[in-house]
Amino acid sequence: MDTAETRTVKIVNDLGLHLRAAGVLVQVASNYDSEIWLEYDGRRANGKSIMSVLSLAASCGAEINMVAEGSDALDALDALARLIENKFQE
Amino acid sequence: MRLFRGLSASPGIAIGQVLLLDRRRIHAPHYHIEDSQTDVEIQRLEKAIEQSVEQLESIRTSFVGEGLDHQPILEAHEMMLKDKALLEEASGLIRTEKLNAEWSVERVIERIRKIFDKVTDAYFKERRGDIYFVGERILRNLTGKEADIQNLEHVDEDTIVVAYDLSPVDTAMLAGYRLRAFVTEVGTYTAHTAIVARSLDIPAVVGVKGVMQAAGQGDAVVVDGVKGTVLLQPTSEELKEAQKGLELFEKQSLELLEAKALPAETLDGKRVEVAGNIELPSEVSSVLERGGEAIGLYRTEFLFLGRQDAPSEEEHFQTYCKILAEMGERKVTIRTLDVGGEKLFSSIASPMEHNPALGMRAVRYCLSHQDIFEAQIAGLLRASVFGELQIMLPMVSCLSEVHAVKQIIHDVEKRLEDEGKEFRKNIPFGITIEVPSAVLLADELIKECDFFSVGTNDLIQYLLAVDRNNEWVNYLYRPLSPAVLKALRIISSAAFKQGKDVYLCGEMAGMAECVPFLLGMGFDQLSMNAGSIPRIKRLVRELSFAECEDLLDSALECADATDVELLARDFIEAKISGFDSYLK
Repeated sequence: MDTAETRTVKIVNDLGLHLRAAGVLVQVASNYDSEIWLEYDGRRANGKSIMSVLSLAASCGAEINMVAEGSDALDALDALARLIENKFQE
Repeated sequence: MRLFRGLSASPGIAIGQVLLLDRRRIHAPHYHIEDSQTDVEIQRLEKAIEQSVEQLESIRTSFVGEGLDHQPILEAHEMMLKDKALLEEASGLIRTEKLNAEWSVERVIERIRKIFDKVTDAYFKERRGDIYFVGERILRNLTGKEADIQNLEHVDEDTIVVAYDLSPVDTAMLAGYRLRAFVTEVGTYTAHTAIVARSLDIPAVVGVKGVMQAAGQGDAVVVDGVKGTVLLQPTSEELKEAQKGLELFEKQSLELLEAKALPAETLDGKRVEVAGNIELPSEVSSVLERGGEAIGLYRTEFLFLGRQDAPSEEEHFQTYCKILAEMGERKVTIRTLDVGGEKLFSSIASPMEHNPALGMRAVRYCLSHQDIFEAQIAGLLRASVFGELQIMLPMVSCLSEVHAVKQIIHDVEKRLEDEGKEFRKNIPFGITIEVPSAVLLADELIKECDFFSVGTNDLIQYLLAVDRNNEWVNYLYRPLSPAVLKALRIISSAAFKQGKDVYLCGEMAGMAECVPFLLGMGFDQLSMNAGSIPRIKRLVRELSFAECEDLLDSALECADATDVELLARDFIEAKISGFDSYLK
């Protein structure tokens, strides 16, 4: 039985989770088997759906709560946190 | 019916073949399906999405030249189409609620767009436009309507695009192809399509009602951008006639070009600087080729369009350097971001701002997105050492906006100094006068500026409360309304009193019937699309400043636009009887 892992990260790139950033994030999230959710401002988005991630409208400074559930949950959270901290390799 | 009349939006004559582009919103059927149809319906949906992805891939790889700037936005649309959540949610609706595929897609798109409606951040709000495009493309493929992309592969040298309407992104995409002319059912002289057509120097006729219905794919067509007519399936006689007209137009254009280097000086020795408006750095050469003496308006929006993130300081710097270096000692007025309204590609979506023209745009947007604005200001300042830069701020409505922007410029200057980067001090700073409050505050505003530039397209809209793209009321959009002339008088007088320059950069500057009034008013610079420069220079050389002043005095006594228009027509015809009608 997999448990849900969570982690909170702050969006630090100027434009926030904009089109390109959301695209990169979804690509990375899709490499993992775990289900991935992002929570922000009372909304919950599927981390593997670009439209869903965009609809979070998370701009610079937003604190995002990431939830991953599955066998590789911790790895997924590590990778996503790194991506966000590195400003989506901009 | 074969002969249609519209509004001439860009001069010239074109003979070619119709390429129909239907960009109207799809009306997809809604119906419930039988249980047994569920799988078939989901397969239809999958296939439509697959087709959509293929179309985007093919158009993206076919982009050339300026079209390349628009690649990133299409890549993003592709990613949205491949979004598994979209397919899953829509399939779910087909399975549980027994909706047909079209209905299920509309429901999902609508749900996502509603989330964006609640978003307050301007960037994310704009993404609704992308969602709309993606949904629209799937619906087109589901209903078997031809998607525009397939047509674009068939663009030939003699292609004349006939469309209901073209969004700024459609037009920008088309700008990468060598088209012969544009014809649209809606639109006006100042619509985006018209502006782009003039900058590409190809004819355009807009507001041609019923032409989509009558025209067939590949039909022969004659577009007369001078008379504003579109003739479908011309007879061989009519073709010969059109060919003659085309040759005459080209011959006269050539004559004008030959005289382009002569200054725009009236018979009694009053000089006015004739400048060009540009949207793309590559247009600088067409302004110079036609005898333009300055760039009176470089619209920087194209730097921001069709991409996912804001341009960096370095990108701004590189772009502006190129323009300034090419213009050398000639003035280049660069307008800071004027995003919003029709110019934003995503405005095709139903606006979240109920009234975007009165909303978050231009200087307002810049002041609320300072990081984006500061990158532009820094790029401008650094580029200033390469030429005669002037910075212009759009849509100012009050003095505090000018103060706020000057503070930002000051802060950026300090930062550049700390970073050891080179820039010029005291770059001429001006504002676009286009909001009525700025007209009435002109005496106060000019004290903070080195120049004014009147943006007549927007000023006329705001002053007369007329949306120039609304075909029901655009008959009220009249540049020669006495109200407009009175506003121009207030603006120019305020500048002259302080010994400052006053320019005009709207479409009015390129309209022969308006020029005598603008001369009489004493404008220092008239800035227009490159194509108009030679004939306006020549027109000025045929006029007398003293007579223009008298004409203006009479016009200011008029009570109605019609009276001024009659005055203008009589004046022009008497002055330039030798002028061929094509060149007016």
